[in-house]
Amino acid sequence: MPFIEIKGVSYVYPLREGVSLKAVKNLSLSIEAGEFVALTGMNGSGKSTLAKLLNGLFKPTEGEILIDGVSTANEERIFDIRRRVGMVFQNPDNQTVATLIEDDVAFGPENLGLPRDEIIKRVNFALQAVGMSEYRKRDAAKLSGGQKQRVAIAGVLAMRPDVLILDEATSMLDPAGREEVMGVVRKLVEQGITVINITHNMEEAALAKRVVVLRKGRLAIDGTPSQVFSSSLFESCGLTLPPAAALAKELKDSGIDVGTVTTEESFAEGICKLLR
Amino acid sequence: MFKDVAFGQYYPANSAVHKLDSRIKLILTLVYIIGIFFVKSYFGFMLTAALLIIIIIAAKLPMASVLRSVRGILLLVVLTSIINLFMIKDGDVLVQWKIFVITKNGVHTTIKMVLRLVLLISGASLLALTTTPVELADGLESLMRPLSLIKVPVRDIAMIMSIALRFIPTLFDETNKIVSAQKARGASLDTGNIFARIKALIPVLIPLFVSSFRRADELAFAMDARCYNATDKRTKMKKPKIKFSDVLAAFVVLSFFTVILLERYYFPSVGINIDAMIFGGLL
Ligand SMILES: Nc1ncnc2c1ncn2[C@@H]1O[C@H](COP(=O)(O)OP(=O)(O)OP(=O)(O)O)[C@@H](O)[C@H]1O
Ligand SMILES: [Mg+2]
Repeated sequence: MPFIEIKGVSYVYPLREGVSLKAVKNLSLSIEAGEFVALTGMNGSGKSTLAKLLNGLFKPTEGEILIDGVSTANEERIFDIRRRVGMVFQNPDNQTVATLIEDDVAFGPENLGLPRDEIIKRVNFALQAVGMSEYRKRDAAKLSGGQKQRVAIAGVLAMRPDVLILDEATSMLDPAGREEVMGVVRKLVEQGITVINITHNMEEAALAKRVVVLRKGRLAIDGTPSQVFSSSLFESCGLTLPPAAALAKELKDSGIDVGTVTTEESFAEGICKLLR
Repeated sequence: MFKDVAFGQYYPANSAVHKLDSRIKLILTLVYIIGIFFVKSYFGFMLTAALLIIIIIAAKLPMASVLRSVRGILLLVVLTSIINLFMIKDGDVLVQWKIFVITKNGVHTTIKMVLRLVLLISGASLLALTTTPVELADGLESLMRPLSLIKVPVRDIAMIMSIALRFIPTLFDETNKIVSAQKARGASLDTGNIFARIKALIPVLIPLFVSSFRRADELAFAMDARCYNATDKRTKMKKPKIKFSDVLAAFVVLSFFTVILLERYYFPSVGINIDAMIFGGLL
């Protein structure tokens, strides 16, 4: 059984009396434990709504979401689900609750009512995992964007989650900050955590093993990065290829086939193969 | 630029007083304030002032920082002294002009009232000067915990306080950004008369409110996602520990309190005699 099972899910935002907006429409998708998935699509395609459905912040209007066999609509297990499906949001300033970094990382475990020794152990572990141990006594407001997001990831890791959802967690960062955060994410994937990375950046999406594209609340494309980038639907979803893939496509159109290209590395490999 | 401003009055220094447990400091400040109201003689005021000076020195605070908070109540002190001075009409008359009478008794009562106010504010400001707002909030939460038995949402109140404190620098930054953005569009925020300036603030305040609500919304989601309210038995990573210095501080302040009470109720003659010895005929 897949770890995350989305079965025919729709979600409706009630706006005003008699007016509502269906942000997710009859979506079915399953994600196995340990997968690294990029979730992408235009603004308003329903990515954030889906993310909030996955950890039970929203309940499906129709259909059902199972996390390890437990429905997110099951009120008795809701906090267990939120613990197992951790979420990092876009704006680092709006998800830090404490002034000191270590206090912020401790927020989740404190909410779970864990014993003090266990909290301290988890905070140490989580800060270590994102490489922020030496900053633990610092003021969270004075970090760089990349550091703030790493602390936010640590806050989730301290709850020992199975799944980490990043909702455009790198979109407010400079390239160096993005690199920092994606480095941490890659390490977590290697350690077996399921990661769902919501992003508009196709270079970042190409780092995942699987890319899921939403369009107007529906599932549009689902496959490996190379399958998705070469899909005929790709452009209709309002997406543009990452530079390396775009260049490879141009080359192919003018008769030079460098093979399937998703990232700069695979482009370099393709070129090397051609030259040999 | 606002980020580094220590909001509130906190004066950072590496002293034993700064490191005292905030709950102890809160309680002892309260004891000190109550103690002041029992002081009757000049001798008692001198004791109080001596205690205050010892604490200021131990806290490595410059005198000016304490005096600054007294300056804040200067007007109050002056006004109440004038009223006091002319309202008290019993005792030996010192000066009389038409209906205005100043008596010896009035002078003494006024001086003592001024001393009391100044010592009170200085003592209270010591707490604010040596304790960060976050520590104060934590201390208050811990002291108010028994109230949760009568269904006061102590934990939520404490959470609100600490989040409010956490967001002060963020909102300062935001205000700066909005001010710059509006100036870039030609808004003039610091010219014109008072009404023009207040009106000029509207285009700053509205975006600030809008963005604060958006932040609050996102923060609520982030807190829920991290299992806020998962259990009634929320634990804390940091357990405040009572140190030797806390016990020592409690001993000093409680001794002061005891001496004041003894002097007032059991040995009033001590204060009267010492006052007479020092001030002699002035009394
Ligand atoms: N709180 C809300 N109330 C009403 N409608 C909303 C709310 N949040 C989102 N929507 C609407 O739901 C739709 C999907 O929004 P969602 O935020 O899930 O998109 P997204 O894919 O995350 O977009 P983005 O890339 O801009 O983050 C949009 O049309 C949006 O306007
Ligand atoms: Mg979104």
